Amino acid sequence: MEALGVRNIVKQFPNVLANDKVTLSIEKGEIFALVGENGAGKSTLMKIVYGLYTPNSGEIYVFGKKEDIKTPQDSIKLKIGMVHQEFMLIPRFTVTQNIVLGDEPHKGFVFDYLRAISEVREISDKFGLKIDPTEKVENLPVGIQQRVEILKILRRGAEILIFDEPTAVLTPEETSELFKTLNALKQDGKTIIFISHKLNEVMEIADRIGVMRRGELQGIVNKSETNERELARMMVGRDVVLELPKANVKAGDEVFSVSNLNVKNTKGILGLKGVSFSVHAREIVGIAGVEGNGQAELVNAILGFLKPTSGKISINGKEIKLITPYNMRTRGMSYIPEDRKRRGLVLPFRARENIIMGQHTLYPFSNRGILNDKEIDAFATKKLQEFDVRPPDIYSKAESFSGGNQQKIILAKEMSLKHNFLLASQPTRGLDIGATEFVYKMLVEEKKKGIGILLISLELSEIMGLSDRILVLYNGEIVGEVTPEETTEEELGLMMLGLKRKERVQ
Amino acid sequence: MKEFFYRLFMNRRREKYWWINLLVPLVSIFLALIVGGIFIQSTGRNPFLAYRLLFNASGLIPGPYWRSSFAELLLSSSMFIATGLSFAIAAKGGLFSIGAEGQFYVGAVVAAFFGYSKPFAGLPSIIHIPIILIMVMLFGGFWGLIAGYLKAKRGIHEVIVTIMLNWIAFYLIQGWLVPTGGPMAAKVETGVSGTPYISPTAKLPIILSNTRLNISIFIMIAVSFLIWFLLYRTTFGYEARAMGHTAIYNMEAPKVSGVNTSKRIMQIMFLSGAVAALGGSFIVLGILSQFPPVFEGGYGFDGIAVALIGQNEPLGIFLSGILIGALRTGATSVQIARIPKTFPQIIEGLIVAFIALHELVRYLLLKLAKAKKSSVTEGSVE
Amino acid sequence: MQLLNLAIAMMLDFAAPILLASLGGVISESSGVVNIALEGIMRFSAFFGVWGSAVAKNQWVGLLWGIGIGIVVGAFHAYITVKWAGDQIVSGVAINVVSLGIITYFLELIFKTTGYSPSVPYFGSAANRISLTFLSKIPVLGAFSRLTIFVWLSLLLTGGLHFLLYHTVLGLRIRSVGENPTAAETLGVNVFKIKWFAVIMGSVFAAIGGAALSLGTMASFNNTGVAGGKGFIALAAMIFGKWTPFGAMLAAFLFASAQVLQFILQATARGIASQIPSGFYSALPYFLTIGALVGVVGKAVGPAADGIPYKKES
Repeated sequence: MEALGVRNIVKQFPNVLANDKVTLSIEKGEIFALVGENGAGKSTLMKIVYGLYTPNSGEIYVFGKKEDIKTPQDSIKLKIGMVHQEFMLIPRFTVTQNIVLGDEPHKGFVFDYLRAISEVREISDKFGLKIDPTEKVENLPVGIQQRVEILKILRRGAEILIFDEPTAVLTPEETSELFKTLNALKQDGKTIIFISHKLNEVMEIADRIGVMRRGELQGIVNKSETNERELARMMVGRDVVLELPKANVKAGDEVFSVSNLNVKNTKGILGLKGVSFSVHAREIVGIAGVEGNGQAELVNAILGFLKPTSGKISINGKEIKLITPYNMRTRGMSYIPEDRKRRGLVLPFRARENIIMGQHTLYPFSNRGILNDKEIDAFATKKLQEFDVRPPDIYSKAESFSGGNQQKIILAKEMSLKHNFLLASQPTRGLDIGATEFVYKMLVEEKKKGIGILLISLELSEIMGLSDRILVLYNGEIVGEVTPEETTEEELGLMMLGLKRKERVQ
Repeated sequence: MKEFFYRLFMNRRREKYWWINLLVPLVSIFLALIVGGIFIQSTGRNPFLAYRLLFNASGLIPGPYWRSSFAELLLSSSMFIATGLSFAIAAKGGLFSIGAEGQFYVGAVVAAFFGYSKPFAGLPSIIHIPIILIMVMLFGGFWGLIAGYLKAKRGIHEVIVTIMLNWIAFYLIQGWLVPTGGPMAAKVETGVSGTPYISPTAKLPIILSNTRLNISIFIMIAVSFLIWFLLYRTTFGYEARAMGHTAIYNMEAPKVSGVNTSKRIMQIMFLSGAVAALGGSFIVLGILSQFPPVFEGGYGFDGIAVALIGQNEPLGIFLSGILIGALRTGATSVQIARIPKTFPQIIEGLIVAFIALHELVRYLLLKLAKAKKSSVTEGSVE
Repeated sequence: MQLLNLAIAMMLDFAAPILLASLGGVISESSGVVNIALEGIMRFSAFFGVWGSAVAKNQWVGLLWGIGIGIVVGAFHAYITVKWAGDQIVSGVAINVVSLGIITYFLELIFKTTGYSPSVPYFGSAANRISLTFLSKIPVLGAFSRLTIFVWLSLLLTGGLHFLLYHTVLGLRIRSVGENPTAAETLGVNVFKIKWFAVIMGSVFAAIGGAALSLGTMASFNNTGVAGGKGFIALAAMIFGKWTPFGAMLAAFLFASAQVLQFILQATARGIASQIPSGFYSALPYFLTIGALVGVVGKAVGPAADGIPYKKES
């Protein structure tokens, strides 16, 4: 029986044709994976099904009936639920408030919070998804936040569940936990649509797989009849070997170190406990860990946004007494931020303006405080070419570039600053394969040039492939220090959950 | 220069219908006049008469008494431009300052003080006036700096502080400095109420004979240019604009790039206060010649409207300042049509409303543009 | 004791319009729409209140007229900021500026004056006050024995708004829209409807506050005195109170107490104190507000999506 059918869906955005006559049929009770690179149109398609976007043309069938889905209200009524890539949660609300919002238990117009709590308990017991209903969402780790999202749609009685890149923020253990949940839901007769670009996961969980590229559906294959390689070729349109070109060079002098760093986060909780490590020239040190285990505190302490309660931070062997971004940068730090739009770019600024940020006070971009447009333009033009930013238009605003090209602008900016230490915080977050490859190449080149790199990442494959040494961060502590040669993703995963510790390699 | 025009036009041409952005303010003014006219009509008065009177006396259109109304227009415009720029400087840097009103007061009272008090009053104009203007800007800047300091160092919302400072300035000046017995009040035996009159050397030089028009408008042309230069040609302005664009993100992008945002916030607020105070000095040095016991303010709040109509851009503010100045200059004449002189404020508010509705205005214009285009192409096919 | 009661009553009288407008700000901003037009709305309703009262010779009709114009102005603000996602500050400024021009126009048109309107039936007259004579002899509570309806309304509505925001379905939805409209939308909450409602509700609260200015202890509309910055003080009280009803109440009371203190100090000053110019006394409440912010309250964080126009992706 067909649970969901889309026929000839076309969606035109101002600059891009996001969906080009997409036709799909998804059976009841199957796990259907939709794969494709970022920007291939898979999220757009599902947002259309969920009523967040209106298609230019095409039809949607739900359980055999043609439906006109205009708003999420419509899709909720049709028992369609969606777990979005960026969680749709309200941090200041409690778990219960988040779950029942939009369909609240009530007595008259009074919100019946107690009944809401018991309903949440009930539903979490029924599906075996444990949760504290009265905790505020802002205090929960990402994996649990996702659980809130799933409970939210299950409570609405969803029969068709759409998951948009659900594993992007999870550890291997959390991922396998999620897969267990998905399989259980499937046993329950629910239909699951799983959007991803991670082929190994798709091969593990899906029954059938649809591949999208540039807005078009390339084909649908049964899992049993395909392999990762074929999928990748369909996805990218060429053979891809996402190689992590490790350069074996000898590490040099210490360029960066923290010792015995204790940092309280904005909630006043110790988010980083006695952390010490160092990064040497020609070395990539990877920090592995589940999001929310101290990465943000570490980055913010290095930038001076959080003041450590004790400990010190040094660059090139010299302790930095007053930590500010300016002081860190003038002593040789570059920084690829985890949040492009918030920290990396001034979105309404043009590419030429963004690319000089941080060196705008230096000659030749300015002289005695007055900007030199000619030099800026020449520099920007050169850099956009060098980093293959598309379109290579220095007057375009940063917000008009795609994610990958935005990241290239940031790289161009940060690499051209004088530095010998690079803080790379989730540098491939949300990038497609092409841009990810580009970032990897950049990092390795940097390393060869003699730069010490601190790589903070949630992607284990990235950490394993690029790092010379790996530090595992759990609950604000470094619980293990290993080299990629002597460990496995499984072992790292255990350490990331605090189930295993490993002594420092001497 | 070639480069400048290239940037202005070539750049815009990338966006389809870029000219609509330029049209929006003009269309807003036009729509506001229409709605205002309908309003007058609906109250049983003659809108055509009202507008004729208004614009004839506004100083914009040459006519019998043009010379003097033109002079008055530029006189008041220079004050609106000052307070408008004051708001815009802060807004560009991501700060919402309602403090121009108080800073205007401060500027006026400081100008009066240095205008009449002794060691300065004897100096020749060429020295006296610059001293006054510098002191005015220092004090006004300080008044703005208080809000900037509390924002930068203590994270206190600048809106509250600037509102409070407006009142503090108002009460300290009108309840302490200026009234009889106050430290700045004229001696009782002189028979003057308010502060003493400023020395003739403090009066701004007249540039149009037989009128009150003085150099204040030239000062504002220069200041507008300087602020444009500061915002778009210097690293200071570059950083300020980056802060303004990222204010909703806590200014994180400029911060991580090494911009000292708290220092900049204080500098921006100082500058904003200094420019508003400059406007306040004009009313004393060019019009009233003293700080009177009852001081009619409002320039600061109107400055917000001026800045918004001018889209927070120096050139736009200069033009919208002239427009508002013209409406105010013509205001008293509408009383002949039995319309209160505050009528122009309705127009002013409506313009601002249509500016807020720019999405709607754009939408209508686009529809118009497309309709025209399709009819033209259809015609050519035939 | 009598003096204490009098001072409290005076404080409540003074606080009522500020508190009401501040509550209006709280509800509007809880839904994510900044309303700096509180001042203009108060001016509108103060005038329409007097007009209504003059026409019907009844202060209740006046109050209704005031509320009516509050709805109209609120709808105008919502039309610009919600329907067309216009800039909320710009729209607010527009309303403030229009109110300055248009009310004078009306004053001239209807009452043939540009200064004070004639006196009209009002809530502050001896007969129209709410008499609770049995309280009058009790310390503190005595202050509540002869208050106007506006003081009671301001107190009741503070509690009412708290209940609405924190204990009803609608309140949960209003706050969700102010925190993360996209999330609310995906759960089937109609973001636009909620915002329309909150903006108009907020405007009505401010309008009641405005009516309190002309129909409360006064019996006429004073063109230069109303609202005379009270709307901006209300805005400050809202931020000071961290966007909560009781916070706003505390802020309004603090400010009003400082005002009363100022009156008392000024009236009772002896010796050196009487030498202090009145300006210092008048400025005292404003100094105290800044002082309280620096010393106690500190940084306030509003609703996460406050001031950001919401546009549905399509």
